[in-house]
Amino acid sequence: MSLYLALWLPDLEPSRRVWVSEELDHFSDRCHFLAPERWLLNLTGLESLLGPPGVIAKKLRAHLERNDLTPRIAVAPTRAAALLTSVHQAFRILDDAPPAAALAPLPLESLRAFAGCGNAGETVAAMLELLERWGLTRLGELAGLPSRALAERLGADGLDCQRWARGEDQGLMLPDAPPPPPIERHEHFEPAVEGYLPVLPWIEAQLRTLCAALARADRAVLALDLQLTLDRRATAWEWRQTYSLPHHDARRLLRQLETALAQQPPPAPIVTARLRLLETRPRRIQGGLFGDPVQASEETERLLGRLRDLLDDPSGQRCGSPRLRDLHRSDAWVITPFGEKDPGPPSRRLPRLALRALRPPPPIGLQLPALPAIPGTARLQGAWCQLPHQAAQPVLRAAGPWRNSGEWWTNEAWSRDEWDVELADRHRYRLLYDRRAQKWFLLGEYD
Amino acid sequence: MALREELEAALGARGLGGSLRPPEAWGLAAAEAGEGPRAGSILEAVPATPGAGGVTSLAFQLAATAERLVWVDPSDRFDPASARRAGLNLERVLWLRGGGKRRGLTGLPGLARWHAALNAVVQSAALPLVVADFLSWPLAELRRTPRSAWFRLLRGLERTRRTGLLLLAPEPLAQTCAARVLRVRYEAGRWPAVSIEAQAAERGIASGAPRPVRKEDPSRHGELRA
Repeated sequence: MSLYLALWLPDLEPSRRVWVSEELDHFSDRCHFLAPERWLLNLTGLESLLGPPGVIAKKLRAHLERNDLTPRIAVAPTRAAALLTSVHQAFRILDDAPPAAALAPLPLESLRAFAGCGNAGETVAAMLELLERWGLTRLGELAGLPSRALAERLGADGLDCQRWARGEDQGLMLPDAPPPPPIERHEHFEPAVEGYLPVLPWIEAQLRTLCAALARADRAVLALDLQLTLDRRATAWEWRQTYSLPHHDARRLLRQLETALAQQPPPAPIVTARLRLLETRPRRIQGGLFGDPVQASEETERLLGRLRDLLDDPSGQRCGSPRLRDLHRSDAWVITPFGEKDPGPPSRRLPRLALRALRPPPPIGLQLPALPAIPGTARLQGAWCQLPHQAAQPVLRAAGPWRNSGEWWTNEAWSRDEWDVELADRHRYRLLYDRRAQKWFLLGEYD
Repeated sequence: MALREELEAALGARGLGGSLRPPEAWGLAAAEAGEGPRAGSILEAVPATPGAGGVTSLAFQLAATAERLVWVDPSDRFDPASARRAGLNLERVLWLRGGGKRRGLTGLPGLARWHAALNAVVQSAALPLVVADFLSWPLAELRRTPRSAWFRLLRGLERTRRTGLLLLAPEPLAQTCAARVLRVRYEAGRWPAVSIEAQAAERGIASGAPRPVRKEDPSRHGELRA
């Protein structure tokens, strides 16, 4: 039988994370870190060494409390059950029985416990909003839904959430690797040095050594922190920079530090210097077969930064990749950051006429020829259409309506008919009839 | 670069390679249009007669095979759903949208703002294809664009030879800076519905002729004004 212990330290300072990981190694050699501040320990087979799971859990709790920590601990026969239970109960040992009954009273929000578990966090975030709209509030309600009907409506993601709500494990849970500890270098200057120039050679030597080591290990600098302790009880001089694009260029780091020191020199002699680096994995986007992925990534990031600056677009709404929303509306899309995901292979489709959209769609005048043949619909062939800044023209051909509606359960409800028409000028347009406002609009022109 | 061209030629001869399109996609039109803009050059697509149509459809088709691309859209007329239907992978598209009232870029007025953005994209050479859609921009303002603006773009393209520019405009704008001009016409009831009259520009880059030596400094033509 498997046994898992989930530990959550909600008020843990990030600097003590490494210490906790080392302490947990004394309790189990199979210990995984799950962001944020959660650990999962496999206790299977440790009874003969450390005692029953309840004893191990109590020992761990006592040890952590002695070190001023407030742990939340749960032991369960599955990983999912242990994680879910630790969110809402400070200390709980589940027996060998299937954990679904014990999990049933927990709120649906508990599923957010999977936030650090590979892709599970994204799945849960997308599903939770939908499930709450359905009126589900407890894990037991989700666990009790018929699986087949759930799969038909929500697909595999819905089934995954249901399995977790029942406390069932599936596949391998791949945890995020624990973040590496920061790299620190200290230097004490005796006697204290006047000005920042004498400190620069030490900083340069440290940066060159560290960056070379990072480059060899395929790592990059995520954040750089310099702290100078000053003589005469002056306030310490501090400078910190976090890089959106991690790199390991020592010259660039040194130049930035030198500029910061020159712009705002330390007001008193320097006693000690502390250099601190946070490392991470370098970002890679390979645009082509022959390109250097790191260089391509840097170029793209630099270009995006410059364009955002040029477009005065801090929110990223004028510079990014469009992504269609999962709605039955052709004009429903959002802007997402460019290059976040590796796009799949190019699709091959037959060519179609492109639409040149108008935003927002301008209102148009439409004079219908006769009473509609079917109540609630219009017959556009033969109608006269007046586009903005143009004379009225007869509609030669028309196709439609494509009627759709949605979001009727929110304040953004829409209900509309879309038409493709060809006017006397032989141009083709897409028209929109807003059924709620009872007005005609021009969605765009085919080109 | 030579190795890349050799490999692409070898793959193309075997019917492989991402840049080749199936001949049935556009029929005659595809054969006439050929590939998209070559790296380091400008390809212009304009309506064969004023308001003839079909330029955006052709641009979608040419852009569908690009690895990644920038769609510079000062008039905010790009329709993502339509592009997706035409085969563009939207995750590969960096879309630079203009405001409805031709605002958005800071520091520079009017069309010059968008030339600044185009220059930034071209000179970074981070993406292999740039599509600049000036089809809906007022023609009078486009005609006032000094020649030096296009030369500057061309120089940027030629310097790296990693990016090609597809320029969509109501009439030929880049003149001799364009390696090729495609005159597009939409014809209802015909398949393919878009026909193309291709023409090589005076510079003769498309035909492989040597480039003429330019003695005058293009920057003397004056700075771009709105």
